Amino acid sequence: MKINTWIEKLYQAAQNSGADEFQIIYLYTEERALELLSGNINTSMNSENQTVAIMLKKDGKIGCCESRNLDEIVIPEMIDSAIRNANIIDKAEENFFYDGKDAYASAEPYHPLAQKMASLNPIEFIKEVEKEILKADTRILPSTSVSFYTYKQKRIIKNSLGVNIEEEREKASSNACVLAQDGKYKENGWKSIYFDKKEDFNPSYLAKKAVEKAVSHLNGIKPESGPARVVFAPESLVNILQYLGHCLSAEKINKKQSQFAEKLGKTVASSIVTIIEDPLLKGGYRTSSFDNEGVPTYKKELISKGVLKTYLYSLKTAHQSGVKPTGNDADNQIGSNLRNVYIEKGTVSKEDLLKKVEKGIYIDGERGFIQGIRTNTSGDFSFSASGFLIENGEIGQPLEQFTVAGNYYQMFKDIKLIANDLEFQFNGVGSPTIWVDGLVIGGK
Amino acid sequence: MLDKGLAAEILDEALATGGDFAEIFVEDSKVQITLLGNGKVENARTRLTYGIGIRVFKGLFQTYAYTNLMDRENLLKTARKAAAALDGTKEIQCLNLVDFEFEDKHKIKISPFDYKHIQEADRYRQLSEQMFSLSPFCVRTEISNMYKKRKILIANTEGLWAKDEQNYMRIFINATTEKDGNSTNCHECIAGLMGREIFSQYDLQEKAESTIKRAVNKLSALNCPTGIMPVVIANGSGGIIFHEACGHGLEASRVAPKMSVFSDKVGQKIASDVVSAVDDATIPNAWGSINIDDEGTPTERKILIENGILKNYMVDKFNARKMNMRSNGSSRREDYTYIPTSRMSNTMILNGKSTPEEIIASTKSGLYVESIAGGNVHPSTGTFNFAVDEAFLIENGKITKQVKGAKLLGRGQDVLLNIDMVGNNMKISGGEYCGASSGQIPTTVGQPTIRVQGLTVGGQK
Repeated sequence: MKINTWIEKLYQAAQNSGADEFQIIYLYTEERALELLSGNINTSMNSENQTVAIMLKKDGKIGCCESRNLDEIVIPEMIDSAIRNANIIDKAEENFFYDGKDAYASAEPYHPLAQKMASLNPIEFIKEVEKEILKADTRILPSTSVSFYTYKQKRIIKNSLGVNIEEEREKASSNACVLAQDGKYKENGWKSIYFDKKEDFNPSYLAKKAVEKAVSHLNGIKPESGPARVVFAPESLVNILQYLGHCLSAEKINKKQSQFAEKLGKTVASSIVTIIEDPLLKGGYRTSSFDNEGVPTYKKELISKGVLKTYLYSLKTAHQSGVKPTGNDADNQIGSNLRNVYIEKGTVSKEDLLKKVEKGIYIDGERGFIQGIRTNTSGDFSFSASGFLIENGEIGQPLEQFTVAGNYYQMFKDIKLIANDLEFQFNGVGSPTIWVDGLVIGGK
Repeated sequence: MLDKGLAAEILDEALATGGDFAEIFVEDSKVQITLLGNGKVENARTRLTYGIGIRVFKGLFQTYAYTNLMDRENLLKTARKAAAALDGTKEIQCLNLVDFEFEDKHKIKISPFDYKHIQEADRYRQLSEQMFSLSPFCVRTEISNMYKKRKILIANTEGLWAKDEQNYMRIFINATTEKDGNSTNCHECIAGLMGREIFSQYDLQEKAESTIKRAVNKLSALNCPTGIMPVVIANGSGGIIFHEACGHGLEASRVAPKMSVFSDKVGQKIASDVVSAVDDATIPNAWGSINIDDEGTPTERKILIENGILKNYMVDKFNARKMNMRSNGSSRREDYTYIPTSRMSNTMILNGKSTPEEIIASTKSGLYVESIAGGNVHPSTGTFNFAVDEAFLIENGKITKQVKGAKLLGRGQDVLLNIDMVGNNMKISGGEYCGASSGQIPTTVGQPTIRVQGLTVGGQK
């Protein structure tokens, strides 16, 4: 049976289920992958998949059943499960579907450069990347992995209130992971490109970036433990900024799981900090004109010159607080309610920022931030970092992995300077290089 | 699920371009999740899955295609997609598919799906009420209940036809406490490859009480000191240190391409003499156990390290070819959309001779880690880190003040050699998911109390 016919049947079954309202979300994905491992093409994948979710609303409660089983016989089971799930929910808070009454802005999300993609041979590309990696530096080990990946997705949201929207996205990427050794320890380095810039089509660009990352960290020393001036490179702030989505969601505010509660209109960051979410950013990696509930998205300041401007509302939490939804419904992943969030750039160059710092720690990689900060609601964190010493205003000796500890909410207040090198990572988080005081380094 | 005739056709089609082995994996699963906040059911959802993954090997190359449009025409098309990555001609035929019989070591007593989950919710509503009554500082409770029934079928061109049904149950309890503007949280989890008999095996009430007690104690924890120090890690969930620092580096997917610090080290000393460790997927009804892996190979208890000497790895079929070893039933995947590979199951350090009291008493000054929240590792460099959930200072051989917010880090290859004391109180813990290239899979960790010299502790002061 064709998938459209199947969805039509599900739609009819929902209409006849006795539910007050209903919504169907359909997701189609297509993925292709190639992996080259230590000299050989190791794996090739070519697949497609579909997921359909039915949400039924009864007495203000929404029950859901998601299915990757597209056998016709599961339609009654999906309806039954969704109704049973709606019935079991305690009606403490009213749930809604979007009624589609506001207009959607047009959005142009990221896509790989189509013309250049058409003439790219993925196998040759990744073989070339590996060749460039192996000849780049004598300290590079033969254990190298280079992958090539393409992804297509189509999403449809259709409900009984008249919403019927769809969106297509695509992705192409290549990732190189290299290992280098000099002395006792090995270091790894990796880089991903997304074929949306001219240089991404040059195999030696990807190779060079991955090699640099591994080689530059060889023979790291342990930093002194204690407070230090810390500079974050844009790529090290991905999880840290994404966690804002968690702390600003009205759901977490209401559940007393965020220290931003009761802080609207108050100063929560240094006056040089402005943080913006722009779901309509042209070419943005997470650009979309609607959120998971089908609510239109729009550009907004979250923090303006240090002052907290808004929380992030879904249909449900907006109703609870008597405000309009902000187009920030979340799925379960931390930060997925934010689409293209970034710290507005400052005016100084990265080099000048480092000169002003003079002596401190430069962080170019973070690990374990989310796992740590989750163990409390106070915002205390300690994560594992990679990086370099800053000596005489310049990036100096590499460091053996160390810890960086502080408090999330205090950290925004302690931002001293913001450079002008705003850079977006693939999950739609953008930041310039920033200087933060008040953090504690754990080394020797 | 699929019948043998169609399975043979698919396998045959997958071999058309010269593959030397083909395999199909069919999964039919159902998951029910109920979430309660403050004793009210806030969310309930069901997830159904029915899909297939088709894999072909040719020497040291594998190709994979998956789909969930399960009509004959599309299944054969998907087999052709998998075969299309090769360009040869047919070399072998699929053998007759023969039922693989094995003993079910993880029988369940009461199927969770035979029970009305509306009644289960009542149990948790009461539990939440009790949690609030235990402390005035408790400001929010969260309880989630998960059932999963996962039916799998594996057929391959060597004639294997293996079916299994895996039933999981997991209950997660979280409490948020608040005092003088300071707030924190603690959780407990019970989980198993079992049905509703989980309620008679574990005392939910006791778990709820300990969650509250720990979340209240954590409120008065002080900032943790920073530096290099001896760390005593309690039995149970502390075993995550071995899982991260060493376990991932013993997975064939890392070992075979020499992307692990433990590649080519079998027979060599990689840990101190007091360390022996196993990965055992055969423990009856444990969360990380299974009868057969996702390639249809029966699972085993594998001795990984014996008295400090590396003995074995977690091995799957594809990497076994590269390593000239046999699969030991370690190949796992989250679902049909993932290519299976070598993963851990129930991984633990075995009992040593010291008592936990001796270990603490012989530590003049250091950190005592009671529980760990999670961690991660780069197996190729050995660098790992994990987040400490609850910890205490050790001063003059005694456990003293509770501290918070610490990260532990090091290199796996160093840490194993620096474990200088191993206790006699081994405990398996956890119902967590381990994430890696083949997705999120259920695993447990375990260990007796151990002491590690020279770990980097990153605290707030």
